[in-house]
Amino acid sequence: MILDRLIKLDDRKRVSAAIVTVLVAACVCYFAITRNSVVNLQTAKANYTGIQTVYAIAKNQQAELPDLQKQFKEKENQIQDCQRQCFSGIEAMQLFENINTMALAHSLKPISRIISEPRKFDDNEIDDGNAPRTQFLKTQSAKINIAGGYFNIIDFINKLIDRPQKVSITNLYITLPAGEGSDPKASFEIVLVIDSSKDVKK
Amino acid sequence: MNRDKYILGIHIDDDFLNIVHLEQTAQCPLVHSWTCKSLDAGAVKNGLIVNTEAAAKKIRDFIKTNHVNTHKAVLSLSCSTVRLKPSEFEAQTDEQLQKQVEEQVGKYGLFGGEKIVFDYCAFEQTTQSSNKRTVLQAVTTRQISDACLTVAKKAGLELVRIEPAVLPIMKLIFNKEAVSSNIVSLLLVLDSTSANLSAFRNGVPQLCQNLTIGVKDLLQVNDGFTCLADQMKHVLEFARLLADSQQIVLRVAAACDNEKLETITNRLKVSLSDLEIEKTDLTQIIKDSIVQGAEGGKAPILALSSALTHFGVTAFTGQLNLISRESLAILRTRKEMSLTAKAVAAAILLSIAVLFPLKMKIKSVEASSADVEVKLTETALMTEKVTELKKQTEQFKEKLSVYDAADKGLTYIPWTKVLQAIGDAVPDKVRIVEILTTDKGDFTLIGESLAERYVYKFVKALQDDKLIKNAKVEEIEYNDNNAANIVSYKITCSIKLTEEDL
Repeated sequence: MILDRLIKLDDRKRVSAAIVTVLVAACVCYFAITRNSVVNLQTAKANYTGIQTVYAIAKNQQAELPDLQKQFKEKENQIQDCQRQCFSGIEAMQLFENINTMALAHSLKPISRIISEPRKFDDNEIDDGNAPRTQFLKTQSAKINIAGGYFNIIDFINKLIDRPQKVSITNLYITLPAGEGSDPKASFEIVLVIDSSKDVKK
Repeated sequence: MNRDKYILGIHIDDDFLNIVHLEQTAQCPLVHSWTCKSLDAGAVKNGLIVNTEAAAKKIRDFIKTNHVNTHKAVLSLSCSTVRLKPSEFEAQTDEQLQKQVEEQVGKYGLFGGEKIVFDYCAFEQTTQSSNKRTVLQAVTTRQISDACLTVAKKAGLELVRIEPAVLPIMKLIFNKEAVSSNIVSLLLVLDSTSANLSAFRNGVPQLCQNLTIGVKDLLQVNDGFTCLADQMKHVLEFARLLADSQQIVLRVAAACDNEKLETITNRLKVSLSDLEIEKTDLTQIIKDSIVQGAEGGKAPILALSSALTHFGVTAFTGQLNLISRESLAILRTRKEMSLTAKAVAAAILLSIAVLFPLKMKIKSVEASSADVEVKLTETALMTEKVTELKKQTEQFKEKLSVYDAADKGLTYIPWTKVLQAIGDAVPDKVRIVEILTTDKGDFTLIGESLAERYVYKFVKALQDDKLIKNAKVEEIEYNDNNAANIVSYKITCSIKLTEEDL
């Protein structure tokens, strides 16, 4: 039947029919046989590229690991140093409680000792409003008035600050009252930095 | 004139397959090779090629053995398969003539209703005054024509023409005679099992008749010549009528060697004594054309005649061709369909062929992906560790910044060292009454001295201390109200802080 119809066609139409048939066959072959595999290959390649990229990133990160570990260790040490320079709440309390005893031990006469409440560390100058990150640090101060020998005062203050933790002495004022034989009076404020995380550790 | 330089002339009758490979050189036709192969019994039956494969194989063998360099062939059918009918038509255009021939052939009702193939050729008129054209019509069955096409196809040949065996002999013999005087002649062409007897006047066919006796019957059957004479009777009578009292020449051509042809003509001379019998062998049909090479003079006459006339005969208009146009179209269409099918198959195979490397590639890529995934899994812990380390380092940095801020927010001035330095520097005769400090590291000393020079000595001592800088006497005041000469002073200093002090 097809043969009969084709016989009746002229050369041009026969060539066209042949070309169309081959093209249709090629298209059908492509879409029915090849395309699926081509798409799969593209997907597999894309997947492979993705995994390769992730792997390359992972490898780069691995390469960074020694540096990171070193950096981490350094920071950790720095943190430990900083923590060492801070008081725990208990240590601060003990120091404040022992001030009078220490003064007496240095032949000084304690006149007054006013311990203020611990207050949150105010780092507004560097903080961008992210308050919680500074909550572990507090400051606590005490105003101290003592009387005694000049060098005893120096030894006493030295005793106060000679410790692993940093102690800030401010508002130092020494006066020698009028009158023969009177001892100098010293007033100053000591400020401690309390690291509450040290209490948590203990 | 035909432009082909080489041609294969093929003649197939019931017993033999004759092939001649001919080249048209500048000087003369050249027979390169020829063969006369006997066919198996039943391979060709009454001119119809039954076993096409056997015939094609013999042709292929000939082509292969003789290194034939052409695929073009003309094929002449055995005498019994083609009905020839000369007719006269009014002089008219070729298209009109063709139409009239078609109408006439349609009325014949030959071959018992079988599908037929026909063609015709018109003869040149010898008399200028005549307005008639003699046309020789040839009709055969489609089955016979298609069988020839099949053989040619199987043999890998391009069939240029199928013609009745008698036609090329006619063309060669009567080509020159056509312009000669008003003579009547007869042509008897014999193949192995059939024959054709034609009557001519002035080289133009007047009557053609097929005979059922061939060379084989004549030479092997006792009363063969009697039967032949009997079958020739009607044509002979017609020729005698045409010739009136003239001598009639009977030319005999046969598909056999010269010896057998001689025997046949001698016997015919005996039985047809009133006719002038002439044997028509190759020397006569090619009297003006010198055929050379490969014993060209012994080549089968019918096959050679077909090949020779392919290169050009001018006495006829048109080439009588019994190839069915419809069959040719079918063959061509089948060939094109086959080519298209092959192209489609090639496309499918190509797709499948492409599929394999694609699949392999996919597998390869997937395997690579799996490998990388395994490696990725192996590095996952490490990656996690790196991420965690980064996170913790960042937290540490933040924490350190807080410590740093805390550190900067408070001052750590080494007051004890300063006080010690002041204590060490104060000379006799100088008393310190007040030490005032600021958080910036400045301090003021207020006191009394017995003389001004002691104050300066004190300042000098302070200036010499490595912790203190900018020590200067700010005020000096003499107190006159006391018996002793007391000097009040005010010294301001700054602390020279070093990293070590801090």
